[in-house]
Amino acid sequence: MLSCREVVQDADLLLAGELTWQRRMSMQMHVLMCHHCRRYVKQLRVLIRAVPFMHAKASDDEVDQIMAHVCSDENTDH
Amino acid sequence: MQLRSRKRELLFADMGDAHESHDALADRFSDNGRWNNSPTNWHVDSPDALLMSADLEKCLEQLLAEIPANQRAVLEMRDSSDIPFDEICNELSISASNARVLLHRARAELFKLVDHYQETGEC
Repeated sequence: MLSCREVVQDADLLLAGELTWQRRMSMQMHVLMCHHCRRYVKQLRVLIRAVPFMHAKASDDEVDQIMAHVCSDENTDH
Repeated sequence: MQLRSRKRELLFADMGDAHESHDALADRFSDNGRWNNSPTNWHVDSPDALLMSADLEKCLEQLLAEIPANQRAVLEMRDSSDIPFDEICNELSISASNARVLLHRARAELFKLVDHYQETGEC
């Protein structure tokens, strides 16, 4: 039987539907019997769906670098 | 689109190897691979409910600004922009296994933060 560590390691692939049939069965068997991993997979699914709504602000350096490139492109175009 | 592409190039300028950082959840298992410190019950079943707290949202923003650029890049491309893995690998010039490791680590960082917040109310 898979360990909890292995389930967590492969949970991303499980949710993406990228596991082999055999591995998926092993994962599902473990999740059925382990409420900690069941909770992990359930909460990971919610977390992944929330990512598009998390807005990290670009750092000042990133903004400066991007603006420098934009300005240099504009100067090249003219 | 061009700006977005350029931004990615810039973000990846400081991209290192996928193995530079560790898995944020690695220390939560005992030697036999079972949970030593299992996840808290978040009591949420939707992204809206999860992000209801402005404090948590700030914590997440801060974390996203702090995690390695390579992790953030793969996370944004895959989970925010829904870009296929093969395209991510092409654009970032990384292997598929590297991309998956980076995505897993970024998600693990987010999971750890949310789990801690749900338990303590702090970042």
